[in-house]
Amino acid sequence: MLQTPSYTQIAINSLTKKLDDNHPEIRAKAAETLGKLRHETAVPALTHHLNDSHLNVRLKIIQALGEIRSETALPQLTATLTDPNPTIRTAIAEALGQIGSDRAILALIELLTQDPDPTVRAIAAQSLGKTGSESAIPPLINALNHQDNKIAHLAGQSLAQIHSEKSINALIQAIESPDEQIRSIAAESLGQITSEQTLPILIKTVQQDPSPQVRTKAIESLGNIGLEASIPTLIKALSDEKDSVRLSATDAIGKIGSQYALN
Amino acid sequence: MALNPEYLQIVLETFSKRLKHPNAQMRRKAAQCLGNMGSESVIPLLCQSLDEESDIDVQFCIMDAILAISNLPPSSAMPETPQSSKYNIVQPQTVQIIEQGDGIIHNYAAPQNLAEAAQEIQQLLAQLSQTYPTNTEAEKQIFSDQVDTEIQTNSRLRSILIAGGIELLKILCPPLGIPIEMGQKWLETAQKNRT
Repeated sequence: MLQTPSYTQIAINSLTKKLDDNHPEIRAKAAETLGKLRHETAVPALTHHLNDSHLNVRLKIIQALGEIRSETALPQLTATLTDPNPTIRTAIAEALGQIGSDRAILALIELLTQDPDPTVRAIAAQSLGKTGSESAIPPLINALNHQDNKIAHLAGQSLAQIHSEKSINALIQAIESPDEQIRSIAAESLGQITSEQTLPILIKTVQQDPSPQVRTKAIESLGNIGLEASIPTLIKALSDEKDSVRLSATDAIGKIGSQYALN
Repeated sequence: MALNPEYLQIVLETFSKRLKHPNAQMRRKAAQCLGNMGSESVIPLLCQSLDEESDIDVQFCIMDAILAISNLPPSSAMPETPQSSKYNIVQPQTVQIIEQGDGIIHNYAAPQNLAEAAQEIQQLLAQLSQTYPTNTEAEKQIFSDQVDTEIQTNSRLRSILIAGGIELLKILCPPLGIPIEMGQKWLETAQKNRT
């Protein structure tokens, strides 16, 4: 941040003028620079150019508005969600995640549940995790059931990222689901959470889950969490009937072992 | 970087002038150097140059420079206390160089000040860089060798380099994209050939 406030304004004015340049490269670069300056006063000029004729410029403007994390840009950003190009809507989903206000979360939930494009829905799921907001939990739990594996997967990761009691409980419940995919995602996502609560659940999954895929994910998660207490279970898993499970147990033990050896 | 504030000002002025240089490559480098120096006093000038600049590459560099200066953490934006160095420059007019090897104190007649010294050499380097561009590593090496040859035959150049020392190289090398280490070879050549 510049010490002299008038200099900041001079810089923003100069860069803003470049948003009208004839060369799209310059317009894109100016938008990018304004975003990285992270100054609220650049927002009106940026939103004014959201309908630039050039796709790349529009993308940079959306990214800049996300970087500035400006709530004032929200009406224009959500209005731009009608853009038929999914790349633009994906960029908006990312920006909304950075802004993270209540209204941004509402817009993201709508994208997650209603956008026709799977990438946009997946990025919406991911962005909801970044907001860390509890109000995102119910739609994310629903998205765990999504037939598109990528969306379900990112929803699980986001629930882990939100890291509240409610979201962790949702994953613990999901690991009991009759659906193999949901259990697998839950087992993987729980690996991001180092909590006393999750360790016995993952251990139980390794010991009892009928699906080798789910057992493998649970073992990988135990390896990521890296607590000594999981070693006996992992050693037992070395004699699992599936070689893929045995292999992942070897990796996990190696990972935990070398961590302790290093400390 | 711990430049004496007086020298810092000189360097800033030298680079600022290069923002108006007819050669776009020079303007680009000037913007990059100003960005690296991180002094916010050049912001208005950079912005003015951005308004007037027609070359796309130079505009990119100016924007990067504005960003680099703006996003510096406040404490490191300006160097506060100059650090003492091996070459103890007592006053701009007289330069005392204490060589660690022989312990003998050599006094060299110096040009009026570091800025003049820099300018005098920069003119020469600018002429050379017209013939020998410094875009690639190989070209930089050729350019550096040419300067080296020039130093061997030009006693004025030698005395300025020896007097200005490493601080002078820090001014000269960055705009040309030449690493300081390469410039140090010039200094060594100058010292080897001094009369």
